[in-house]
Amino acid sequence: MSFVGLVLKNLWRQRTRSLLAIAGIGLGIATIIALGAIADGMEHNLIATLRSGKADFSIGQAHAPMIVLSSVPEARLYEIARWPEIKQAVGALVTFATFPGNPYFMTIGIEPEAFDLGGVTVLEGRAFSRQSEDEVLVGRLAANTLNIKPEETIEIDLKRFRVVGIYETGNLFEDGGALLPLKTLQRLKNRPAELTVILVQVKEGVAVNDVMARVEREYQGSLITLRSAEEFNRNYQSLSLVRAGSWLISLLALVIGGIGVMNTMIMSVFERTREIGILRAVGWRRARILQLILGESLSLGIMAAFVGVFIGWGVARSVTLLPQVRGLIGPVYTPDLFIQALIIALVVGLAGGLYPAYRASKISPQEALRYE
Amino acid sequence: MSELIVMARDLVKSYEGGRTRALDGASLEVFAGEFVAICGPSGSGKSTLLHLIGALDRPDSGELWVAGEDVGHSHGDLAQFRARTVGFIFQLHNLIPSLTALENILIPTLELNHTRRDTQARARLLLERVGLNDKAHRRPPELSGGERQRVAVARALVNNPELILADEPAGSLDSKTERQVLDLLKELRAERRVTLILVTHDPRVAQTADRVMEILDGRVRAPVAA
Repeated sequence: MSFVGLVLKNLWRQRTRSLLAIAGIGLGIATIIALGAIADGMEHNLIATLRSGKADFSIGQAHAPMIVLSSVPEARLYEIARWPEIKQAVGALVTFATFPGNPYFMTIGIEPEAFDLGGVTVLEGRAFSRQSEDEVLVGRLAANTLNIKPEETIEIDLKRFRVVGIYETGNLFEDGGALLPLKTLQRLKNRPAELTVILVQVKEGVAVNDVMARVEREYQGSLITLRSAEEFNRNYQSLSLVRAGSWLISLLALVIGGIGVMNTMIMSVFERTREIGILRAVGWRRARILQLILGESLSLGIMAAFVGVFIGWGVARSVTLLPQVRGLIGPVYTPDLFIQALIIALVVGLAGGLYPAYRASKISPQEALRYE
Repeated sequence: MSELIVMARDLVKSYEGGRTRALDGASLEVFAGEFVAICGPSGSGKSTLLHLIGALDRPDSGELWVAGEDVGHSHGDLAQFRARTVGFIFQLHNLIPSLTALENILIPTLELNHTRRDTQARARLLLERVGLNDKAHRRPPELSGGERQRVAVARALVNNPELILADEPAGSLDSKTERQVLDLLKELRAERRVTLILVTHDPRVAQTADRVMEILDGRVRAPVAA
């Protein structure tokens, strides 16, 4: 028999109580995993919105709360497109439309020439013509979930459009919406000469950073450039609200889990007073008793981490199947998230066991042996 | 004459803030290899004396040296001393109910840095010696009173201590089983050449020892026998 074996055996003795404690922390961990994966997914998709394809970087409005709420005058596009170091610059307007069956139906106004730069691939049918007023392309996800086929007619913001093709960008939001010619969407939304984002591709041999620096310099305070997730996070803080919310809920769940572990371990130490006295009598040091009780609470934390990860993964997956959020949420599971969950579970297990372990180590062998 | 293993002088121990005086100037000497019985009625202080010798508790005053260690004045945790030097056998076997007989015997070895193979072999050997080889994986509730006490004897010996302290080791057993456990203890003491101090209220049990000391009102009546 090893020390670790004894730790596990002690937990097994009180399996109902151990399971309840594991469930307590496990639910906290599940919350962290589920909310974290969903927030990561939203971040991933928002970052990737109109940042796919061949574009070297994007330009958005400075101080906009989210990239999709950015507003850039179309005139900026024409100015920047004339710079000698620019190979191609295109604009896109991102809006949300009312569409039956999907409250977050993303509509993107973009010229067909910009498909390549925007990473748009036409899967079925054809691209719309630049001047068309009633042609639309529907995203693969929207076509699947809303059962739309080419040549059908759909209604966006009370106006009828003919579906001429199905496209894919690989981005959840974009593939859950529709593409319209830029001018048509600007008219439909009554936002003439307005863009959400400018996609830029620089000429070969030109340093992307230099061009980005020039944009930031010349349009200081009004435009910002975006190339990476970090830049996105730095410039658009809206997701930090989602993150803060998820942390708050997780923290609450973990405090409850931690109290659960402490309660379990205090009860366990109380019931084993005589037994701990025997261990002390046969030569166990206080430190060894401390290790035993902390080992037990830490093991509860480790087991809860695995249970929590499993439940959290399941919950996040189930959420994506809800019709209300289909196409909006795509959980992303990063190694960081799992490491974070494991560390938190260990800390909760350890913190919950500290006081009971201290109490146990203070038990006098002689007193405990009298204890019935 | 062999060397002294226990030297106690004027031990005083009180409980409940001094209202109960369990030991009132108890003195005794025990030599290595001896089998000494401390006999006295209930409440005479014999268990307290045994607990002090085994470093489970400290005296309020007096001198106490056990196996070269100043147990009376040591302020540190004497757990390591207990693990290496002393083997306890209690009246109520005090085994851990959730562990098997073999695991109970192994419990004291977890504190010392011996190899697992070594401790397993020692525990197996002792289990065989106390006649419970076929019950290694039984838990205490599945064993008879005599068997439990034999497991407790094996546990007390597993770290090869110099001193065995037995507190009414057969007090809860019927007379036949009691004799068997006492015989086993005596045999093992002789085989392993350890010192055995046995506390009992029963003069018949005390008579089986090499030397008997009486304790009454917290004082040892025959502190050093010839």
